[in-house]
Amino acid sequence: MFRRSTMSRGARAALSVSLSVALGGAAQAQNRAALEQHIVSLAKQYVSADSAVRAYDDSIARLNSALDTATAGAFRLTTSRRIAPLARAAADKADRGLRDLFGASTTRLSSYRFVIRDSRNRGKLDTSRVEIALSDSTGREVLSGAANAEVEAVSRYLSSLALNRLTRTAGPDFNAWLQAQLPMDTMTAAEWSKARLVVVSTWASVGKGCYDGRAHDCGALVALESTNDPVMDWFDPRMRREAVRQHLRAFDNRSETRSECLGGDDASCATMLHRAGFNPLPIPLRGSLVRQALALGGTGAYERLVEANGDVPTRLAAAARVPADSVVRAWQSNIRFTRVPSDAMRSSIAAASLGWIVLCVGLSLRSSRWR
Amino acid sequence: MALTFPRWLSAAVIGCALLLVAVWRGGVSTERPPLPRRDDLARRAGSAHNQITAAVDRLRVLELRDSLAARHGGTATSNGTVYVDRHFSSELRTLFDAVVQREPQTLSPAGVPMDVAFVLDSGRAAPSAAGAAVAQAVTLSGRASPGRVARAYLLPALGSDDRCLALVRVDQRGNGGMYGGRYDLVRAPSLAGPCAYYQAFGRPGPAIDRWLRERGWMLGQRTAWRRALAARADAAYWPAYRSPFYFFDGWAARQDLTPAGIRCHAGDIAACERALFDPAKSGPATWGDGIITFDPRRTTELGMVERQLRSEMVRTLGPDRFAQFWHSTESPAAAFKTAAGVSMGEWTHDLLVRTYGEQHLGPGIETASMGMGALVLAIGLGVGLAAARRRTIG
Amino acid sequence: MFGAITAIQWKWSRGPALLATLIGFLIPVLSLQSARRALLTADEFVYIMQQFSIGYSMLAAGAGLVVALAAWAHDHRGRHVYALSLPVARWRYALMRFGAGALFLLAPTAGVLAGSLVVAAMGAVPSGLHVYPVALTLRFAFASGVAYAIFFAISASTAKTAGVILGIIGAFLLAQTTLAMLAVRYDLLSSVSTLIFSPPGILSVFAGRWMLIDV
Repeated sequence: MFRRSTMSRGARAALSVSLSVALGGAAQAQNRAALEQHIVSLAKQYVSADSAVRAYDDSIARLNSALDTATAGAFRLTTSRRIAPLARAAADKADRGLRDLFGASTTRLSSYRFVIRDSRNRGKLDTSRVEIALSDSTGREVLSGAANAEVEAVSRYLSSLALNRLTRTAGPDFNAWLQAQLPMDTMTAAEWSKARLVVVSTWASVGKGCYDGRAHDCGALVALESTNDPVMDWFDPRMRREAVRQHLRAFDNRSETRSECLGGDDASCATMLHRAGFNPLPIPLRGSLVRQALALGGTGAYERLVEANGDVPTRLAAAARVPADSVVRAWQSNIRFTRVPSDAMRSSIAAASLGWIVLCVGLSLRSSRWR
Repeated sequence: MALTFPRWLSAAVIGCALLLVAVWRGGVSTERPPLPRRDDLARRAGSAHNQITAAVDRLRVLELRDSLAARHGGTATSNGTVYVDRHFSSELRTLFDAVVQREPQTLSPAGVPMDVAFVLDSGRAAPSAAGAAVAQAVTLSGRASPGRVARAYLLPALGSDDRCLALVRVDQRGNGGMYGGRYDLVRAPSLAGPCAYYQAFGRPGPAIDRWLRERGWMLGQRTAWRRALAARADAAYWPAYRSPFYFFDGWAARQDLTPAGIRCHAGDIAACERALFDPAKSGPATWGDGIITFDPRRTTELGMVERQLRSEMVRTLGPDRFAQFWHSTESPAAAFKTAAGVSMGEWTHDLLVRTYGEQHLGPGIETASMGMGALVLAIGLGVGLAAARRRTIG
Repeated sequence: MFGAITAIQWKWSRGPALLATLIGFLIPVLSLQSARRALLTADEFVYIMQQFSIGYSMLAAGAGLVVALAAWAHDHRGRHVYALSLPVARWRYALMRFGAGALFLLAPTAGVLAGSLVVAAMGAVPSGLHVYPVALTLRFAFASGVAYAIFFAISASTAKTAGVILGIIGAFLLAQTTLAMLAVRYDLLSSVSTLIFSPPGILSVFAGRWMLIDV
């Protein structure tokens, strides 16, 4: 199993050291046997606990199988009889919204069941709420939650569940990149302003480069381009130190490495940032890029994004019907130039100010000094 | 109706009572809200899985210990013998070379040599021949993550000629980057761990050894006793803007230390002694007849300073006085007092003060603030009196 | 004469004193109620207690301010004619005013003590932590005394003096705004705040550790 190491200190001749260690063979065997018994016992506990989870899932699946089934567009419903009309109305509404965006891709929801059942609070029926869950083909619930027993609220929740599944159909690479659900609306001027703030506030040097118009930096900022070592390539020593000071406060904040980093040792800062998997890129910006691509693509953009094969730039290009570079350029332009009207001064501010002035003057005139 | 003093008093008492009732009744339940049933079941299953994974990892260490018991070959160094699994990549062998060559030479004439074994390991025990039940249990455990580097130290058994063995288990899978566990291996001041003390000072006295195996080996992963423990200034932990109503001196220590550690820091020597000598709630420092594996999730009584204590003892006492403590046949408390001149509790308190500055408990005013407050009070009264003296009508 | 001054000053101060007493009782109880959520660990518990430090400080400052203003308000309105016509040395008169007002600070101090003792009696404190009712009360008393002395001095002086002090505060605010308008990135107010409230600043008695419950 072991080879002779090429390293040496002093003599290169390997020592043939035969170490028959008198460790008390019986004691060792006892240690190992005891641990093996302990492991067997732990395994029984784990199997029991795991079985309890599976039994619970099975019981939920049996509970759901006793409910009524229905279909509303792309939604295959399982619902309590009492709330079946509510469920169908909500599903119809959600289906209409999703078909407008995803078109034929909504058929990908056929492998799921959307369960809507009565809600219980400490054993009593709660008529103001319903429980909503998403179960897969085996009947196991993969997502669950609750909503108010109103068509609008249930419809929104169903749309959210459906969107969650449809986003996953865009492939693991896209999901790992986006780390959020596909957005269902376009960017407003206020949201572009917030995104601009994120870009100019980012600690990575590519933020400033993107804002100044360098397309490659924009691509890096939204993780369409990559570098081997973002921590070293996109930060200078001062920013690495500040990143450790501000962002790695809880993680490893007690080690000598942190003290050395804050004392000026850049290698220690790099060590900590690498170990923490520090990601200098603002992930929420990626959602704004997707919304830009979907806005450029117009009708059918969502469907093309989901149905496309390939990496993230390919999907964005398919959605927008222009190359990915063009999407990034359009995104950068909006980041840079979209403005909201200033609300530094509004009529309500003026009215409130005048009101307070009048009040203060009135109170001062009541002073006995003037009467 | 005039608010006479009795009425005022009644109003105050009744008002306080009403406020107490209102605040307490409108308060929150002290009961933790129950988890949803499935989340609770999943949490239990997850906890059981973690336990079995940890136990299988220990079984792996025992298997390696047994297989290394009859080790031969290797390369002799000034500290001991080094063994490297032949299946490692050339990049990793180069890394191990660098780590070993950087190791301080600490073996003394009375010391116990340290062997180092770099083992290619994915962290999971092979299904044992001991029985199908064990084999099945092992398959349930989780696998180690790629790139993992795990260290274990096998102490010399009592009354034997054993060497100390530093077992370094390396999972070669992964991108081969220099990050994570491999970077730790390069950046750590020393590989020797507890073995460094055996190398430098030989075997400890029997009472000292008992204390070390029960508690003492937790008091220091760090063996770079030639480097002083870095002071942890408040400024390193405070944000750019520090509200004077929230941050106070000693804040950094409160981030690092447990309540027991804070009491020790503030001067409660008994708290220091309990933290040092009482058995730890998380179990003994060694297992399996003298094996040490450091679990970063293990809670410590004194916080992170606990990991630096023993090396600071060597540095501040000096090797000779530390050796006197190490070889003593007295209890650890008495042996330390004899060697250092102060109790271990007092020494620990002094260490905390040197590292973090002063610490105080409860509401209080700094001496300087109290002096300034008294001065302001006197000045305020003086100004008031002077203004009254100068006052004229008109 | 001291009794008479105390009695008349009490008439002006009893309302605010009652309010301050109730608030002084409320803050410790409220701090415990906020911190006793079971999800907190011991150090989080202590941090929550510390967050009420601003409450204690504001109450101490507010109680000192109100009592100090009440001490001189009536004399200011009468332009000190009656006070100066009394057969007592002016400094002695001012000292009696000061003493009477200081007595009334015992009311909110007693409120804080009562609230702290109630907290200690409740027993809803995590193990390993201790209650410090007397230390907190003494600290509050000292802080309110300092605030009272400051505002007593200001109130005893002329309106011009008060105007000067307000003007200085206003000047700092104006300077901060001007610096911001000139895109100068210097937080003047934070620097001044740190100077004043950090030991041994003039108002450092109001900052620092106010934890009723600590390790």
